[in-house]
Amino acid sequence: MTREEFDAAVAKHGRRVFTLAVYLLGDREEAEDVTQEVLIRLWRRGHEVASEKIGSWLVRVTRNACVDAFRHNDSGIRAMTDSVARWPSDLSTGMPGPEGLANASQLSGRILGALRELSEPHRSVVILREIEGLSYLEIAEALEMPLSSVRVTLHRGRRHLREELRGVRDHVEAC
Amino acid sequence: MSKPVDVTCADVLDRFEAWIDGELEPADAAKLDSHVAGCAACRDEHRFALEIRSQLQAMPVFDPPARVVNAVHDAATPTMGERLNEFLNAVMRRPAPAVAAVAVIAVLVLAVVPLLRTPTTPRYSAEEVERATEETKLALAYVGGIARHAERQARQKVMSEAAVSGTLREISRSIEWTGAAVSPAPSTTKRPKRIDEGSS
Amino acid sequence: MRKTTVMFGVCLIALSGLAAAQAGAGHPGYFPIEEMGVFAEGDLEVDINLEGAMLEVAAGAMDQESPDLAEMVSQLERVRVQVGAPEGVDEAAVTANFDDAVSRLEASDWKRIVSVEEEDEQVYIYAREIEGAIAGLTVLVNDSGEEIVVVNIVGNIDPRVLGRLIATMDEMPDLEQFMDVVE
Repeated sequence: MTREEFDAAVAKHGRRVFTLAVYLLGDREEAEDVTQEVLIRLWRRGHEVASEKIGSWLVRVTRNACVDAFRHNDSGIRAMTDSVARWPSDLSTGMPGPEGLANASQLSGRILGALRELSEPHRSVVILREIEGLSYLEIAEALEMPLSSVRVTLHRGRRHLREELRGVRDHVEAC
Repeated sequence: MSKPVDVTCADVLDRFEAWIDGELEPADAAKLDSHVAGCAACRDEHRFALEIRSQLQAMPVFDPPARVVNAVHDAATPTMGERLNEFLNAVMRRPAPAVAAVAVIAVLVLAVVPLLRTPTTPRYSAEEVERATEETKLALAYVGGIARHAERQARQKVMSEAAVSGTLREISRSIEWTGAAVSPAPSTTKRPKRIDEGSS
Repeated sequence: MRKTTVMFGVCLIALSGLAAAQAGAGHPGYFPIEEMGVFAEGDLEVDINLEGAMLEVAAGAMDQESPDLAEMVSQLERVRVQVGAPEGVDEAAVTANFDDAVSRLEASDWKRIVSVEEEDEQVYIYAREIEGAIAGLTVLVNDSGEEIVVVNIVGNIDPRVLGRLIATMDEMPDLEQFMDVVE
């Protein structure tokens, strides 16, 4: 991989890598470290990857790196959900629409909390699909899952979110 | 409007997400449409599901901070070997006469070999030194870990006292001593479930 | 790229005779683990290849943190480690090649220090002794055919220092910490 190809890949995919790491890890500093590690790995091993596969390769490597970051903390994949205290504060901004903004903000904050409760691979799939906007095919390639499994996993993930948040919604409406 | 008797709220909830995403067969989607239109609870759940999805899709995305990008660019500086290889590849790709290409390589080799032969220690970058240091530690850690693991697992000593010289006996005693250590041998095969990165 | 690299390497060897100066086949502690044929080409999880001056420099860097380790490393001439899953290589061939390497070590002047021979695990550590010092260590591990570790360390190794280091290096570094380094 030439330097030019590498720079182009970083410019094109850096945001996706970092965003995925932020939402998976819930810790900006760790996400920065993982992102740096992943992009350096791209430099060292990118020549082994077909150029059209770089995007999915990066998603896969990022997810693995986040899983490993939690394994290193001896907490396992489940501990990826145990990080609400470290969510970057700016995640709760940028909510749509002025009406019901207070309620929306409260709900969006709890969405992040509920997201952290999701197990893998539901969490990764929800992040990749709903937040990052990847297609089913892109997710299937990146996570090496059959297309049908991506759909099922996404639907189950959203369902779990809904069930988790139902209590919050009732509280908000009662206020 | 009355609810169709063959679609219950449970049925709707089961296929809710697929329905929202428009992935149901038209006939099934129509059944859910009809049910939800006539069921306040499911309509409410529908609105809620759409709101959650909407808020997820509105979550911000983040660009990696400049310090990360700079660190990556610093680390992406090609090593001398990589630059040499790139140069050689470029030479070989050019439609130059074979003789000229060989001459270039010969000049390079003659220029490089004296450097390799000098008795002085070659200069390495801080990154190369760090890498070599960490790799050396890793290699020795492998030897140490495997030795302790083997000592714990070994059921039968291969060496007999007669076959072993004094120096090898010393190693064996050190290994035996460490066999009493508490720390478990790190497994090289038990990994969390990762996705094979391969080189797709 | 490969052809270029091979050609460049051949030129170096032909013109400089460099190979003789390295810890190559002529050194008693050398064992060609990279020729065992148990890994698919380019498919290694760990591939460490350190020789000569690089080891000297590493020893210098370790000196403050761990003088014992630095002293031992300064006497090394080669550190070669390969770790990986033998995917893409015929299972029978992997087993045969692994066993062949063990047989070669057994039949030669290498002494087996310790071994584990279970159905799902084979571990062998051999040492080559020359005049009271260890000239080479070769470690072979086959874990259920799913992961293989091969190590060859060449140099002038004081067995007491090595034994002490084995006793004190009680934590295998997390491989993923080194991914950035060893790739």
